[in-house]
Amino acid sequence: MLIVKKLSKSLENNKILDNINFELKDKQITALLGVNGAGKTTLMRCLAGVYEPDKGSVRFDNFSVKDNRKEYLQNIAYVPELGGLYLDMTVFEYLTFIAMLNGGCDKKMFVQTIKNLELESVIAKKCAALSKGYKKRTALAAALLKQPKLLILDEPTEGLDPKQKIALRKLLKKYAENNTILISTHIMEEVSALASHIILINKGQIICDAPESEIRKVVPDGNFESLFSSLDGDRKW
Amino acid sequence: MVGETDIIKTFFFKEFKSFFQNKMIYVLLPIYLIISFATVIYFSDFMSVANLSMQQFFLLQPRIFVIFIPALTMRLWVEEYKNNTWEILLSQPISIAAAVIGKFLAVWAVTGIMLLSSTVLWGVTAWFIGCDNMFVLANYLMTFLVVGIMCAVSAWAGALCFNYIGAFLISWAFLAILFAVNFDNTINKIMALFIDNFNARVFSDFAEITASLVSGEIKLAFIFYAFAIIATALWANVVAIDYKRSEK
Repeated sequence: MLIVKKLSKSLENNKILDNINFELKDKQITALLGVNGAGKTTLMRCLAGVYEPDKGSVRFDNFSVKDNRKEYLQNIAYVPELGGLYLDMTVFEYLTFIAMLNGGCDKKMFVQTIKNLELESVIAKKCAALSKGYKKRTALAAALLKQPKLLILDEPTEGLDPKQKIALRKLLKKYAENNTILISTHIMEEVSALASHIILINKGQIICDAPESEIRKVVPDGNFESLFSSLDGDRKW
Repeated sequence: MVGETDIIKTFFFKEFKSFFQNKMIYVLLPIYLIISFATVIYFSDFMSVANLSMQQFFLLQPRIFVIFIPALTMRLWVEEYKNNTWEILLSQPISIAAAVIGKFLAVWAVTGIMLLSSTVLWGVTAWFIGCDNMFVLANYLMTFLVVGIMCAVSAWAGALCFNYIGAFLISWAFLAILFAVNFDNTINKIMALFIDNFNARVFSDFAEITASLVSGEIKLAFIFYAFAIIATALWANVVAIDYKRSEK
């Protein structure tokens, strides 16, 4: 279980996250929703160990991101919105490099991950030559290679075609049977299709943290689009 | 959990390979050789005097590397920011120090290859003029050590910037200061105007240190100094990356 307590983060003297508290239960997909600039990416970076929080604590399975950094990060994988690929490497080299940073990985699993994400045809291609969809899938494959207990995905289906989106959702749902997933997205269709829990963030503060089914009851017409468009920073749900 | 040595090795091979993959080395190496040989032949009496130690060549090497090392190190961290791979690196269960050391060793190895390629001149000199091979070998080792210091300082300076030009310029400036203190005596000359007997130089004479290496009386102080500077620069590099983790 991921426990975030009193998390605050400022960047260049601007308070981006202010006293964030929430928990992510095991084996569920949580959607992190918020308008641009709400603090979603900063929050994800804090959870992924990229940023060091100014205040507060982040713990996963009793490991703290600050005090037990290596143990904490061993259970977590993060896929940023902008892939984060080494463009001069081939897909194979990139996946091997990430696997080596995590102590290597089982050959069978390596092959299976490539197959699951349909990367066979581009395995020898340079990352620079990949389409946006393949770049996303390569980054996701690298994250899945370490079989993280918590998978953090920033806009995971951005740039994928409808067929790839469906396949990815299926994969994520299967993965969430034994693990926890946190996704940030603007696509409401994604929230309905994947998430069982929703966290709404606005102006660096959490304004709603509830199961998807409960939110659906209070949202006009059960439509998440209206929930999203109502975000003005003052409304508490 | 992966050992630090394995992480260092992983980064070393990744960076070393990328110098050849992005073809940078194929541009820099010929330019380095042309400049090295041309400066020695045209700006010194290299071919006209007995040159048992190739001393002119080695005296010019740190000056030449002041330009080449920033060109090599500027991409080490800037590329991570540019391609957004720094997010991936910092979210892996590895220490930043291991990444910093691996990257530094890769650049140092590349400069080693550059130095090694210049041994053609050694061969030519030995064939036509004849030279004291032990002395030349010792000079190569000392130059490699000095270049190591320059690589570590330059890599740290480059880590402070987010773009290539900034990284190149700041690295060059840091090396120029290091050079002015330890090789050219410029800082001492300026400070002597204000303070009597001012001495900021840690090692005084490159040739003297090399001579001590050959004669068996190795100036351990210099070796210790070199590794202390490298370790300090690498530590400062880790601090710079860590600082960016909080502030970027």
